[in-house]
Amino acid sequence: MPASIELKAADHPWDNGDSIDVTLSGFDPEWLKKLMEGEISGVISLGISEEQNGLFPVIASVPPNDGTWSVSEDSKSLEMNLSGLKRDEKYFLRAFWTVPDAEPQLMASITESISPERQWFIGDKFELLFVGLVICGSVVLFIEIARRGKPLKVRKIAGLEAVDEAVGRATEMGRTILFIPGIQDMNDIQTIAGLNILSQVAQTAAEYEADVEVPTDRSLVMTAARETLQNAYLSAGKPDAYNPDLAYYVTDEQFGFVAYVSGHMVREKPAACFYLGAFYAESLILAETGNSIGAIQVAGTAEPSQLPFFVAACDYTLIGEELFAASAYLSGSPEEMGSLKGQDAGKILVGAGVLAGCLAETMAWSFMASLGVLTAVIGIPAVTYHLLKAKRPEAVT
Amino acid sequence: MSDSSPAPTIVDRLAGLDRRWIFLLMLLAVAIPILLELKFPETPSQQAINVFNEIDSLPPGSKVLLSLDFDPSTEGELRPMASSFALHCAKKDLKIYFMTLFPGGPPMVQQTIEQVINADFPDMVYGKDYVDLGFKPGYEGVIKVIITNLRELYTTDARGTNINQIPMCQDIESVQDMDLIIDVSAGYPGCKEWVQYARTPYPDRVKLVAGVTGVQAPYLYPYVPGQIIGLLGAIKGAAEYEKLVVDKYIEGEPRAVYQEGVRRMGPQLIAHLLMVFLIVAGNVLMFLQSRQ
Amino acid sequence: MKQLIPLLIAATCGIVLIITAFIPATVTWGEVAAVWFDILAAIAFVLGGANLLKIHLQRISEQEEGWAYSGITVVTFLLTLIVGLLKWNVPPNLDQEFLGETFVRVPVEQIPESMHYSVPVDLPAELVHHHLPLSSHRQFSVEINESGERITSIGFIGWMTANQKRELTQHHQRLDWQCAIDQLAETASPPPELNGVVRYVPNHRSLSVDGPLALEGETLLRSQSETADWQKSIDQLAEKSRRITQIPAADLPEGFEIPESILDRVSLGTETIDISGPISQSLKEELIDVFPRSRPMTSEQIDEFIQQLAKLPGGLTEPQTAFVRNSLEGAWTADQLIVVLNEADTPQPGKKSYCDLLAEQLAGGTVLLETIPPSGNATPLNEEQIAALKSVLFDPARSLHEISAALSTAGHFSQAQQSALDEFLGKQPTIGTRNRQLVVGLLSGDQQLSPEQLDFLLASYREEHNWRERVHAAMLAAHVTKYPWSGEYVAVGSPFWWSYEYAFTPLTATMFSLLAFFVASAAFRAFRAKNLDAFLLLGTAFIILLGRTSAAVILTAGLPDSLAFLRIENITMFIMSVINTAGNRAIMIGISLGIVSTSLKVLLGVDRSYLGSGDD
Repeated sequence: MPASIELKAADHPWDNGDSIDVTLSGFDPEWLKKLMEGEISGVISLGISEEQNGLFPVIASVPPNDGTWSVSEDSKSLEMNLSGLKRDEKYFLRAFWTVPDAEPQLMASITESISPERQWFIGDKFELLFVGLVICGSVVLFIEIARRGKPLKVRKIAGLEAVDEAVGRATEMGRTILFIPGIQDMNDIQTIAGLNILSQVAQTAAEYEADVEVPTDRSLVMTAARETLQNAYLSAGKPDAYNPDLAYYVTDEQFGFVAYVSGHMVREKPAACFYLGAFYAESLILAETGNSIGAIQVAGTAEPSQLPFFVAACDYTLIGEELFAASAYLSGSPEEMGSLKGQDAGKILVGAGVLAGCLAETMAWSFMASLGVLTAVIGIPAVTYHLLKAKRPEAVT
Repeated sequence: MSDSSPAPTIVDRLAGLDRRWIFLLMLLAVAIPILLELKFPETPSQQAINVFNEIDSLPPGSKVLLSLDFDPSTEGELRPMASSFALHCAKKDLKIYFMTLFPGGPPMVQQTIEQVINADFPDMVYGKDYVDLGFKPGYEGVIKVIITNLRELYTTDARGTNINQIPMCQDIESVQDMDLIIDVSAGYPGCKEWVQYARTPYPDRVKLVAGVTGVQAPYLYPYVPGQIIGLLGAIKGAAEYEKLVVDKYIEGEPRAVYQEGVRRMGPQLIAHLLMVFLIVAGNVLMFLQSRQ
Repeated sequence: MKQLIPLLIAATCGIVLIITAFIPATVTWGEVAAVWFDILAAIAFVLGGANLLKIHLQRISEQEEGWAYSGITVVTFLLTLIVGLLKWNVPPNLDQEFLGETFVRVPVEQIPESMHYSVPVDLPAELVHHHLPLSSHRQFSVEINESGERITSIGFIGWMTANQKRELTQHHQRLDWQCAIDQLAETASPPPELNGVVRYVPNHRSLSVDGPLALEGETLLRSQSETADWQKSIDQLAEKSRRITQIPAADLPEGFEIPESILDRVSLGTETIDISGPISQSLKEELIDVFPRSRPMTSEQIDEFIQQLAKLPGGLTEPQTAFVRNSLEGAWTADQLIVVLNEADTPQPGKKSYCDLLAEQLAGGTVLLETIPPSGNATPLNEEQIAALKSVLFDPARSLHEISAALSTAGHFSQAQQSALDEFLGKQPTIGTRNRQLVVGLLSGDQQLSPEQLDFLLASYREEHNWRERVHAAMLAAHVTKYPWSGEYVAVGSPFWWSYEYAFTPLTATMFSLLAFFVASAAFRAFRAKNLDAFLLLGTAFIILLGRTSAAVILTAGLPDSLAFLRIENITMFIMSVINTAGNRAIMIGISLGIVSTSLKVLLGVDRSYLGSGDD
């Protein structure tokens, strides 16, 4: 048995109060290596009890290492995290050494009890909080900047420019406009993005006096769509033209819904079709049917796997984030424009992270060092360029 | 189109071909190989080999969770994978825990049990060698719960037997006790949710291989091999894996159930060739039209 | 206001859900929010159904174009709803959650006073400050002294199950607590006559009996309380548990005899086999286990078997003969059994009780160990026993069950060895199963067997299989139905199942397969190499299309190994795992940021157009 081993336990910092960190130190590095490689037969086990001289049932053991134990760099100590404990309960720990066909021998123990304590924040999620705060913070910041009246520029999104064209055509032909806000429920953010666009489309349609029909496959989406339509007609100054039956529920079943909508399209021949929301296998069925009846089609989804189908069969496709940007683009309100800019700040952050990660892996540097180098290499020229550009007069767009 | 325009040339007519002719071609391209039972040789790709090796390296008696997250709409694409996975696990003497996250999934599990286990492994005992945990509603919420505590949701199996009375469930506390999770997935909830809620929080305890529909596969490649050890995409993946299993474990001519993947590759090949032809034809027509 | 309230609800729920991800003390808030969403989602179904009916009934009444379709929709909707809700033609489920047991409902409040147990203890009160295990929270109670510092007694209503005992003892890792629970469990257990037969199942709030309730047991149970409720429950228990299940006695397996161990439950009448009480899994196994198991064979016995088989029409080929010989020689041997029996006699380590350990601790012990090292030595089987064993094994006329009698008369034969023997024999295939395995091997490849040979080999397996099915059916029949509407609405054969299987399944599959046709027409129409980007896309599409079939392998199989990376399947792999993955990741990151910013807009109320326009 290895002699003079020391057992230490400490509350695991920044957790829910259900785990403690255990360290066994004072091993001979050679011996520990052999043990971990299975050349020495015997097992180190950890027992836990609520009393100092109680029975210590085994709660963890090594070897074999199931991934919970780690050997320190100098190979002198073993560390592990003991979880699943009760908060604020007092625990004692003992380490035993057991060789086959013999009684376990006490190797080390702690004299002071230890209790896991709950902190107010989960430490593992600190990075997540940091990134979240930076991204959310920049969104909020830019919304605020936009509110103060600084003009923000957004590039053209062809699919949204086409809304007027599509609605106008429907009016000319005296046909309806079909709008499908995806096939997911209101808890999917894509559905909300779709309904946000519906609000703008319906407003334009109300001005032109065209009908927008919204079949949905979730009843909550139906009620939300009705609210959206009603308010859009109200904003367009035509509250009387609003007909609640234009937004209706079909079925929750994916393919049943598709069968209904395709059939409806073939019979009613809407002049324009909008598919904006979450779509799955039905994307191409809808888009091809729409194509066959000669409708102008605008699609947008954040399901990457469905994008190719929409691109192939629709006139305009909003790719991924464009779907979320569309509402801001159409409304043109400064707050929403600000949120788009904030998103760009997030992209720069992610981009820098990806590049720094690649650099760190390739050059075997630390991540922070790579980030520093990267900032210097890209940041300085960018700032210089920006400063030089600012000196020249520029036409406001 | 007004009457005074010149008569359409053959190129114009072809370019404006009624799409029903294309549908007809596609029908023939799929029907003929099925009727003639055309089969083509398969060469397993690295992905299929990874999946196969992962299962093959498990010692007998290991616990495998086979989550069949699909329903009849995608059965054509995913059933062959489900059968091959079940066959492989049964041949390896693994303990199989069936479950599904799809409301339409329980019949899929029952059919797999009937076609593979009952038909070829009559010695396997329900409750000792395999168990059907059935369907639980809640989408990814189910995964979130059973990854830490199986009994919180599954108090009985699909047949209503108390889980504590099922020998092979007695020492299972959570899905983390499984040696491998195999997911056959048609979409949401499925493979991505298993990655997010099972593999990601417990990277040391959970191993995952998956078979998915062709539409989903490109979307899931970013998770291979970090989170998903091996990924079978569509019928092609199914056929490759099926071949690996059949070659190693079945002597002579396998039953039809174990040839579904390979059989479906015939129509797939002809249909893909038709697609290539259609794309080429479309482009030639475009070229000719622009020349006119 | 109309917009403000929903906005506030959305903002509060959203922010709560975000906070719960970071602050452990708030995790339950998130669960509450999720439950509320579920309730809302359930109401949504009703809303959807009502809207569906309204729209279609309107169409029918206005006789709009295609109103007949609306009629069909309404009719099928109502039919599915009614058939599903009423579980029309669905057989109720059998009460087989606990095979072999009978339940009667006895709520904890109705458990008689005489079954309220308690033990005096002296424990610190802080031990019960944490939540006690849920499995016993209705039954377990403590009494705390006036100062509120010590627990003076612990009590339990009803009998403690093994599971409850385990969870309670594991609740605190300290011996005084564990010993107290052990003592309580011992007190809170049924009278010795009923131990292991009757139990209280807390999850089901039911009293359960294993097998039929014996008369003495019934009297004992009745004596617990005079109340009418209790007496009624025992009446029910006795009546339900003594139901007789019958298996027709016609076509019994050859030489069928009821195993001795179950004679008290099973009796052979002239026309039926009567089994009293619900049939458990183990009783079923014992009833099935009446067929001789395969045993080691001498080479003469093997020769004889092969000759019998070869004499039948069809004969045996050289490889077939070799296969049969190998298989039969490879069966288990007497030596294997002897090793197993000798090992089984190795003394096993014992275990101290918590109270023993507590005594040790109080006596000043500092290192306490739970296990007691094994004492005594193993006694290997003696020569006489081995000879007796072999004489039974190699005489087909003698049953393998005679082994234990032969061994115990010839020398030392322990209980552990008996169970090891039963386990060993239980694992060996019956002769029917063994012959069936032979058939599988004999038919592999292009080999053949004549119908007579198949009959010879499979006859006993068929008999065995039929018997197994009959006993299994009897086991199911022995269990009464749970409650009238307990069946699954999708039970095989029900109208709901029928519509699922023959309408829903083909319809959804058809809609999904439409994709194949639409992909083809879209490819023909839209896939044009109009510019360089489109041309690159086209090229990639070709490679992937071919790479996903065996055409890829055939087309580029000729490439030498040094150029293997140019094989289409390898290029496909590269495109999918490198180029496609890179692109997908970028799109996913963009989408995630879009989701963050849109969610934030919703939470902050910047974008309210989904609630109508932005103006209040």
